Formats: sequence, structure tokens, C-alpha cells
Amino acid sequence: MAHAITPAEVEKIAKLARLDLTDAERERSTRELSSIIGYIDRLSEVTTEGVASYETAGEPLAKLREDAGVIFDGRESLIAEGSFKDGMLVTKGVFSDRAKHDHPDS
Amino acid sequence: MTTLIPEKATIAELAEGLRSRRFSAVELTGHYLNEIKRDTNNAFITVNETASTQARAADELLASGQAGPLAGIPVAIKDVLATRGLKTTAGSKMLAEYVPSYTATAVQRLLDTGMVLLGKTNCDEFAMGSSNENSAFGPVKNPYDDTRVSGGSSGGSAVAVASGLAPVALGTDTGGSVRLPASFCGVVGLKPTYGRISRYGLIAMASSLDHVGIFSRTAADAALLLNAMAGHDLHDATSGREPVPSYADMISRELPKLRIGVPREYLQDANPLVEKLLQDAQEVYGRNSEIEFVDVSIPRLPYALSVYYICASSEVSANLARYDGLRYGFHAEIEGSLEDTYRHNRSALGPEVRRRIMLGTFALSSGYYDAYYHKAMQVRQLLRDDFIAAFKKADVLLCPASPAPAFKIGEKISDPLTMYLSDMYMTAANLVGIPAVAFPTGLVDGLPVGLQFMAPAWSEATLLALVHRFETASR
Repeated sequence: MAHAITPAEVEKIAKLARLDLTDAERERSTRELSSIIGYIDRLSEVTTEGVASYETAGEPLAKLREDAGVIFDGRESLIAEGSFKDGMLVTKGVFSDRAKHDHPDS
Repeated sequence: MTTLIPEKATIAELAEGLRSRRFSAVELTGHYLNEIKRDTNNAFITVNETASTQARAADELLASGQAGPLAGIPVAIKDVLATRGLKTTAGSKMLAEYVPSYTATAVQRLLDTGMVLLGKTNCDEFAMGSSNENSAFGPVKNPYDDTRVSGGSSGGSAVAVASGLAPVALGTDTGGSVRLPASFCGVVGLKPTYGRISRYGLIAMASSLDHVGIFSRTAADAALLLNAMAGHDLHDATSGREPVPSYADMISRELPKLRIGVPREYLQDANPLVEKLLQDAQEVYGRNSEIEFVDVSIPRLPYALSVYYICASSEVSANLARYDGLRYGFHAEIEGSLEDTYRHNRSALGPEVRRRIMLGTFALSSGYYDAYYHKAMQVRQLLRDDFIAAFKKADVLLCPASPAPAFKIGEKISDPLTMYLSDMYMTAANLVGIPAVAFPTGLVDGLPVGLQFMAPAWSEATLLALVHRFETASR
């Protein structure tokens, strides 16, 4: 299982995790992740054939609450003053340039 | 006021002062707020501006004669527990301006007893760290030596209690984040059983490992807070239904015959300091003829840290996916695609958080899932089997809290793996969900050192009773 992480793998992981890396970060991450995973690789010494995966202890989950409406009294704390314009809720913009909003994979 | 308050007062002493009207809850709160203003160790991120109002209400409660043992007692809260109307940053630039619309159950239950919220304490970003150097609001310094770390991730809460800025505080413990800073700062740090205290309103790091924990000067103080918070919560499906005993009454009762086991695996590469600490403890407890020391083995213990960093990081990578800047926190409008926007906003996350997200993403990614995440979860199960077997031979387990006292600020920050090794005695209790308590045993070269007890699930009373014995014996 011994595994040295390559810069290409770091790039792939960062993409999956939606993180931008600078060149320096990519170089450092490659080194750090390799060292951490090098330590973790001692897990391969443990025989786990046929062992079930850990599950949180056999406690049953909490019983569900009654299926009834609950009044949330924190409306004001969620909606800041001046959040409405012409009766519509105003939210922060996501894109500054709407023409470029197509998903890169689409 | 200072002359009225014993500098290192316990809750019982403060409660007596309030009842005998030597000081009011408003005066008591004022005293701590002044101490917080004078703090030079960076323990707090936000001070609660309404603390005095809460204290006035506590004074009324005390005057009514209906007050419980915690009424009017101030408390500090780690800044990962949501407090309605009071900024909750998780030590992150991502949530620097976040004001929750609800209060965490653990905090609410304390407020319901009449406790006064002093403020929110500094911590490693999203509770990830062993030294409290990963906070966007700067490191927390150790009150015994300000060139050294407080320990993390709940460093601010540990320092608040250690340096008299609060009599008690809440922290959270995912892989030692209450017990390690407690040990570095010379206070008691309790991590209860998984599910003992509701996590509703706790900003999630790794959900199968996250616990709310308590910092206090004494085991008795921890027992009072645990009694107020423990028990099932409809808002947290993982909170346990086990009955809540009166911890506060149980700690001073006579202990039954007890077998204390020291796991062999922790002795194998122990340094002279650790050996000395364990010997001292054996001497203190050995005086009691009801207590017997036994040899136990937890064969998979040497793998706990590896299992932890895979499980915790994998859960981190999932839990922190929500911080995309659209639903919570930091947000900047940029030119580009939705993906670009996410990535840009997530640049508000600090280096340690990004490192763990990447490690977890790797462990869960196609081609590596079986070798890392699945393997770690199998070894985690074996570790639980080992603990079950060990608890047939011993009622409690004793081990060090840390391989060494608090290290220098900056000493380990550039080497993540060395930093992670600080938690070598900590993570097993989180992985198998059992309660553990770190308690101070004295000073070595002017720095606090401590030990740790672990016990089977729901045995918090035994842990606190043992710490209480140590406190009484060394007084």
C-alpha cells in the first residue's frame, strides 16, 4: 500500500475538493501528504480480512419527533433589515458576469 | 471584588459567595469581564455584550430561592458552538462575520440553569489542530510560558480556565481537542461518552468523532456541568438515551474495588517523563487498598492515530463541502464559472483545513477508498474489540495525556506529521466513543503535565471520582 503522492494526484484531489492551489501550495502539499500517508500506511500491517467496518455503537437512533409544525421564532435573526425590495427577498449576487456562468463541464 | 473571589475559585466556592451575598452575579461577571480585558494570551474572540443582563437575571433567580448550583456562575464557550445573536466564527476567516440564529443545546442547557455566557473562546480553525496556531484570529499562548502553545484545538477555553478568565468553559474534542489543551494548561478536561452531550449547534468537523467537552479546575465542577448538559436531545439523533445519574453526588462516594489498567503499548516507547508520571499516579492510587493495578494490552493501539487521520479527514472533506461561500460565510463576486466561484470562496479556508480536506478527499477517492477509508474503518472496529477485551481485565485505563509538556509556538507548525503525533494518546477514545478525562498532576520545569483515564461508555462518574481522589490526595 506504500504510496508516494505525485503533483498530478494533488492537482486531481484539489479539483475534487474544489480548492485552488498556488504552485508553492501544490509543491508543499505533495510533500506533506506523502509524509502523512507514509505514516498512515502502517495500517497495511493489520490483518483485516473478513472484519466488518466500524459502525457507531448499537444505540438506536433517537425516536423521531412528532410530525407537527414548529414555529421558528428566529425569523428576524435570519433576515437582516433591508433584505426586502419591492416585496422580494434580495440575496447576494453569485456571478459578476452572467455571460460566463456556464459550468465548465457542461 | 478580586479580594472577594478566591483567585482559583471552584463553582462551589463561587456559589457560596453568591448565596451569602458576599458578591452578586453582576459583580462576579464584571470581575471576569475585567480579567478578560486584561488577557494577553488571546483566549477570547468575542466578548458577550449581554453578559451583565444575563447576570442581572441570575441575581433575580438567586433572590427567588429557586436557583440551582450553577445560577450566576459565568462560563466561556468555544467558538464552534452556535450562540444566537452572538458571533460564532469557528476560528475561521470563512465564518468571521457569522451570527447564528439559534443556540447549541449544550450552551442552552447551561443558560437555562442561570449560567452567564462571558464570551466565545479562540480555537483552531474548525477545531482542526493540536496547538491552537491554526486560528484565523491568532494563536493562543500558554499562561505558564507565553512563548509556548496552549494546545488545541480548544486552546482559548483551556487558557480561560487556567488563567482565571472564567471558572469553567466548554470545548469540543474530536481527537483530543479538550484533553490536550487541558493537559498543557494544567486544568481538568473531560470528553464524555459519544452521544452523552448533544451536538446540536456544534459546527461539525467529523461527525462520528465530535464531542462536546468540559474544562474545569476540579472534577466536581466538571460533574456539575455534565449534569446540566447530559441527556437526550430531540434535535440530535445521535444523542444517547442512557439515564443521566447525579455525577455531582457520585464523585465523592466511596469507590468500589477498582482495577486500573495501564496499556502495555503505551509503555513500550514511553519517555522518562511519561514513566515518572505513571509511577507517581500508581503511588497516589496504590495507597488505596481497594485499587489494584493490572497489566492490559490493546494490540491495535499503535494504529489509532493512523485510523484517526483517515476517518477524521474523510468526514472533514464531506462536512466542509458546505463552505462554498454561497450558503455560509465569506463570499466574493468574481468573474468566472460556478466552479471558479466555489474555488475562489474556499480560499478563505486556512492551510490546515485545506490539508485535511485534501487528505480526506484522497482517502475517499476512487482507487484509494478500499486501501484507506475502508481499511481504517475495519481497524477502528478491531480497536473497539481490543478495548472491549481490555475492559474485561480492567475497570479503567490510565495513560499519559501527552508525550511532552507544551511545546514552543512555531516549533511544529511547518511539519504537520510531527504536530499530529502530539495526539498519540488522545484519538483512541474518540475512535471508540468512550469517555476520557485529562487531569493535571503537577509541573515539570514550570510547565503543567497530566494524565488521562479512559473508561467504558457511560462511566463518566467513575472517571470523575478517580480524578477527585487524586485532587484530594495531592491537596
